[in-house]
Amino acid sequence: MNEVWVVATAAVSALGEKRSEIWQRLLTGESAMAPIQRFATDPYYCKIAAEIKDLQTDPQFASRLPTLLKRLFQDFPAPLPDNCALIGATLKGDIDRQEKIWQGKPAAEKFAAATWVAQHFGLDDPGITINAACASSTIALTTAAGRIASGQQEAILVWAAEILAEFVFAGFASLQALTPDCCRPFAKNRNGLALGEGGAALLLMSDRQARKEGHKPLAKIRGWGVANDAVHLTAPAQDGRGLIKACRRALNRAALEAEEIAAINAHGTGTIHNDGMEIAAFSELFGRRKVPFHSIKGALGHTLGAAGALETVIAVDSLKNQLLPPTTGLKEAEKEIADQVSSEKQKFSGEHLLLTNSGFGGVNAALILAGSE
Amino acid sequence: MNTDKTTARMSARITGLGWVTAAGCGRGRTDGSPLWQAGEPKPPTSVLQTLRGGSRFGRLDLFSQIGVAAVSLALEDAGHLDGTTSPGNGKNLNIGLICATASSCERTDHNFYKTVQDNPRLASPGLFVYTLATSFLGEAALRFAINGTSLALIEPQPSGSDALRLGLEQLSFGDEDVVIVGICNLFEKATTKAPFFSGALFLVLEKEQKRQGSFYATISCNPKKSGFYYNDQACADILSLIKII
Repeated sequence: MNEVWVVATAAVSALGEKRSEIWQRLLTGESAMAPIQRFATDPYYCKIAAEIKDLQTDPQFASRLPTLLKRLFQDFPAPLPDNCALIGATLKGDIDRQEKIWQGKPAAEKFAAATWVAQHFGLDDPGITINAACASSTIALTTAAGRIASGQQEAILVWAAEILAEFVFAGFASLQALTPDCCRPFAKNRNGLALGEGGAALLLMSDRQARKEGHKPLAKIRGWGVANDAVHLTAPAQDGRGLIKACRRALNRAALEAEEIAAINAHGTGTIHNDGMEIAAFSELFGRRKVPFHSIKGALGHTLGAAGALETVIAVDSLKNQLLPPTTGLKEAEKEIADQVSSEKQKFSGEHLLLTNSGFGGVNAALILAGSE
Repeated sequence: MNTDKTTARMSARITGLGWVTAAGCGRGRTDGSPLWQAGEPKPPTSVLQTLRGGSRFGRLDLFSQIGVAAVSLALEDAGHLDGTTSPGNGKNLNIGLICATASSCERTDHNFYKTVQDNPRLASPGLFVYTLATSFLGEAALRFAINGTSLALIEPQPSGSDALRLGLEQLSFGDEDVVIVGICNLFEKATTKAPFFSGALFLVLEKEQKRQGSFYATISCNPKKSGFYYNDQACADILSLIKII
């Protein structure tokens, strides 16, 4: 079985357009939440989101998605290896273009994001684009890891991107899932999620190819698992059964015991049900051991299909620095996890970090990252 | 797992087939008439009403209705449903669900957006939850107690080849013993341009060593080459496969 190495990463978010800038600003506890500029929020009880500043609409495609992808890949190492495959993830793609059509504006050309990424890197095959609710890009990573570990592929670029649009905002508002004031993952008084936008990319390689090309691993993907709650369409199983199964699959694949997980990058949306489910799952998985964990969604917002990839990029830095960024927005944590989450950065010591995402339709995905030696 | 083994041909047995298309709805082999054809699939009410809690399926958008019904028919054809009263036989089936879609749920998206345009304060949460390509997979998962991988693949042109390949991968990686793979499309505007037709069809794939009893054929592929083999006959994707079955 091949080792799966992360050899390059990139991220764009409302807290910056370089991975290093996002990391540094996360460490300070900064939040990108601000009043929404993109569309009128008068009809909605929520007025905030984490928007990327100056993300202009591409005139050819009448969408901000091409602009986001251009920014994401502007400094990405190129060319990619000739044998590199692509796996993408996005939930609603160029939904802003579609909104304009529904509003009766002239129809612009559809933006095929996967094809654009392939052309940008001079590759023939756009690969596959995965849609699995808010675990989309995590599952893109699990799929890529499986293909590299099994020897089917030697190199895969995983990309993910999501833009903020009224379509999605209105939907989450209709579900009363948005916070009216501040996203507070894992807080006692959490009251909803805040949306964000962003993109991330990770170049994965087999250890064999990476060594041949002179790369050193930024991190390794050691384990992965996916499972469905099979309980409810929108609400997670409150006992965390699906997430527990996904995490156990990841641990089994990595041949690790739960004791070997040093820290967790949780989904942590700030909704009552999601965060409660994760607390239950982590309690079941780790027992009395208090594994430190955090969520970046109070700072960057929930980037939906891009969340898992964006959080994996952050997790690579966490492992390297043995440091979890603050859970921004958190003031008073739920009692049983009060010594595991913090509004301050948390040091940890260990080789393995667990990353989890869950979404509508009962989907759960888990990744285990290992630091580079 | 080692490289030599996993780069060998991946294979599975096809044990079930279910469809809801303009040709109607059904399961198993057909009389040779084409399943994937132009036209609008009718709401598969008769299929959904046989399921436990069938009346609540009226709330689903049509994209989800045809998807859930086709999954149900495929599972029934494979012998994983014991008739009409107890879907899933009361067990948590170790099954994955992979769907390819070119249309996604664009018709539902538009219907939801109309409610936003009418009055944003009264945007429909009941429609919004079906504005994901995977919502119907969640419905199928909870209806049939399926707790494996579930995902949709967005494909530019309907074929189902990536879903079929991913299904074979899931079985070879060992996470699931059974994977349901298929296509579900509901285009906003009906076309007569093949293969851009609306409809849903799903196949049940099972590991060869796990499946007891009857099956249609063995489906296989080389992980590093495109295309598939239905027994020894070459085929390109799901749409060409169903013509052979």
